[in-house]
Amino acid sequence: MVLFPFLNPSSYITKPARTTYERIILYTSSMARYGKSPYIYPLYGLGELPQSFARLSAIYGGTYMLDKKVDEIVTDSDGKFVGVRCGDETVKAKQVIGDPSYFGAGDNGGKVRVVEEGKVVRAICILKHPIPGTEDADSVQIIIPQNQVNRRNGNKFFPFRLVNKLMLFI
Amino acid sequence: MVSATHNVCAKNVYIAMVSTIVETDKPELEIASGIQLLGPIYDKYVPIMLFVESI
Repeated sequence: MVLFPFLNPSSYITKPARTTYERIILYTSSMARYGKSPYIYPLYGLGELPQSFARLSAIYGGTYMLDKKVDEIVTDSDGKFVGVRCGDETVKAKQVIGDPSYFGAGDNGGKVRVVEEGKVVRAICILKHPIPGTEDADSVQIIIPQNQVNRRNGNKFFPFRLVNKLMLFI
Repeated sequence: MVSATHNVCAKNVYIAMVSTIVETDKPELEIASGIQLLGPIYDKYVPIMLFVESI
């Protein structure tokens, strides 16, 4: 992801060098800091990320609500956020941070806060061998720049899939 | 691509994901150039997901 600007010249070549330069610095200073990859990836899957939030909640007194449906985003008459309703329960907070898919109109035709931007196709392939030509790497990300495949959006070998959706109340 | 190194699958199994933003009505063909690089595929699932953005 850090290197993507180099591979996506059509959008970055006209922009100032500073951002790209800073990304190169971040990439190189991240190399060999932990293992041989500049990226940190959790063991046992991405479920470990909410798990680490659970630990922080235990320390700082946060409450974890698991397997809860978001029935409604409650706002006051000015449209300011009040809380989130789940059945008869409403959790109140000053601020909310959440996956955009939580902020749809809902079943009862509430206010629309998000729009469908598009679709992502994702092939999850089980292999019995490492990807050829990667020197048997145990993890790898390959990005095919869009101009090589005559497309607007490049092909990515995403190393992960976001399945855990979180909502954070502040 | 992830593997047993990340404790997400058995040893000698590799999980590769190929994805892109859908631009046509045949999304599976759009990722064909990426899938070709993988070599023989033991099993494959192809979900298509909507993504939304705030307005």
